Amino acid sequence: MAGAAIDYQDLVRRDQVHARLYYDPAIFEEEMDKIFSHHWVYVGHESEVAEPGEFVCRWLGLQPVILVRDRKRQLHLLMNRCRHRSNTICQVERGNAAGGFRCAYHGWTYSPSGELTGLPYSVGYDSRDFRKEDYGLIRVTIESCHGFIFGNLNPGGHSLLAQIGAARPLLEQVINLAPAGEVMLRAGLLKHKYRANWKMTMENVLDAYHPPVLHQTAFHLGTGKSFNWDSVYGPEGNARTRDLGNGNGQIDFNAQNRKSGFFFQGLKGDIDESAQRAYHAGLAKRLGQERVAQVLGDSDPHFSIFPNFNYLPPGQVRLIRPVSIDETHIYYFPVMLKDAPIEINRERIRRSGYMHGPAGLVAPDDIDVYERNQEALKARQDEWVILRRGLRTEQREEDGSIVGMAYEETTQRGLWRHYRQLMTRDANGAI
Amino acid sequence: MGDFREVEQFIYREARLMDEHRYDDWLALWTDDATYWVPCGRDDGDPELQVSIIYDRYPQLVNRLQRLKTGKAFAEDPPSRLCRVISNIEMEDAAAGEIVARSSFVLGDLRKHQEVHWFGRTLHRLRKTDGELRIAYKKVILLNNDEPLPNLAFLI
Ligand code: FES
Ligand SMILES: [Fe+2]
Repeated sequence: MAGAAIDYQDLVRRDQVHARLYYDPAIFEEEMDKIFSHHWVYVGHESEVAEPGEFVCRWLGLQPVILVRDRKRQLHLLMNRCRHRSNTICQVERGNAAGGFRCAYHGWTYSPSGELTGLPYSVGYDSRDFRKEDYGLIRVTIESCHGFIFGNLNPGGHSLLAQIGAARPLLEQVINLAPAGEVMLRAGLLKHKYRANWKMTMENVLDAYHPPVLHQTAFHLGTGKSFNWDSVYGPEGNARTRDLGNGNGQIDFNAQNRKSGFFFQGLKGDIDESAQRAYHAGLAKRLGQERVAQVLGDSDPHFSIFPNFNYLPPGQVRLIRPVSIDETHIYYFPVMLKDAPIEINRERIRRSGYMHGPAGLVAPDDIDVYERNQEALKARQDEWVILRRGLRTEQREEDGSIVGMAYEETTQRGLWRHYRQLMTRDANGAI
Repeated sequence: MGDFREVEQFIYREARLMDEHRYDDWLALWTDDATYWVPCGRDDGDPELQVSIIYDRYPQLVNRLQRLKTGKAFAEDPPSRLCRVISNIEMEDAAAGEIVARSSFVLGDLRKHQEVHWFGRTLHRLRKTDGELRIAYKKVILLNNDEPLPNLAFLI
């Protein structure tokens, strides 16, 4: 039975969104199609599959895919589905398949790049209606930016770089922290799950109104009780929220970072002098001495790329995986800086787990809040979630981005604007 | 040879202090050069080069507890109700007069009507300091350490 079409224009308004967007399974179904099957979706970083044959299993929405590097070092994103009668051909989340994949059911074999290489008793097929070439694993289009790989089931002429748009300099800010100009996501990953909608975390990661309240305990440990949080987050503060377009957004701490080094992540103090000097020298070699101070001052940015990529200090990539309307998984990857002294990367890895992940000092409080949000959405007297902070004061900058104070909802409005466009576009995917 | 009975009682008492959120009493069980490790995605490996669920030296452990004690660690507000059963304790002498104890646990975690069951194996390295056993090293291998976990903001 087809119900009435969902009116996203009505549910997503400029200054408020309707609770149904977080609890209606029919909306989740449509998101899996209109967003996760018709948009660039983050699947992993090149360094995770650096060696020939290496693979990791990921998802495009609910659809299982394998990111794999073939024997010629070419990257592929393959559907994790045997072309015979549907079977996952890969059972573990990561490994090396240089020898190819083999389906356990009837033994069809595939090369790491997905070609069907063999099948038992192939005489059972008639060449008039079965050609091996037609039954390789289904390939998904991928594009990458600075090593970050996104897949798109139906790109329809939209390029990844167009989607990343104004967030691209932030990816550059990340790789510029590495003396080699490259980052590595090979230090494992933390996995966290919560019982609430996936969009909660996309909104929260761009929300700079909550940290001084929700994360006060962690912040006090980082800075001591005397630090004046208003000087960062308050009306006189120097942090900003930035709507970068296409649903992407940033919490811009650059001004504060340049002033003090980021309150939590500053590499000062915890790492011995000689390692820091070696690190700075490494950066200078690639960027020139003049830019080192700026790069270190800007430090790790805090931003997100719609629909499922976040980057946070102290150097961490998050991949958001929607599981159902009210269940979400988050994967957290520490970001190591290629050719930086080991002391620097060790500290980044340690802080990643200490702040975020299921036992971190920060992320669990956010997770608990999402579950409280989801519970409260069952209260149906007033179903609107308001997004009105700073609506009249935000400014449009020359590059087209929209900037608000840290405590304003500029970034969330940007996210929802893009969401509404995607959910209301017509069948050919035109917006 | 360490006294098995004493080690066993020590491990039970530690479990009770964790169940009851007695943060200061629990911290007093540790040596000030201690390491506390809950590996992630694997049971071993190098915690310096691979991210861990928990990898605390004593100062980080102190901070972790300090945060919990404020009552404003919202993931533990209200606190989880905890009940763990420890079993399969084995003990062996280690270098420098230390004792290695291995045990298994089942832990029920109830919070806001949700009951979560945790399973794991623990390795303690214990040291006698001023006549008392102290934890110099503790490693907790969770059964589900490669799965997406719910919040783990209480003591494990
Ligand atoms: S389903 Fe894979 S070989 Fe038959
Ligand atoms: Fe947060």
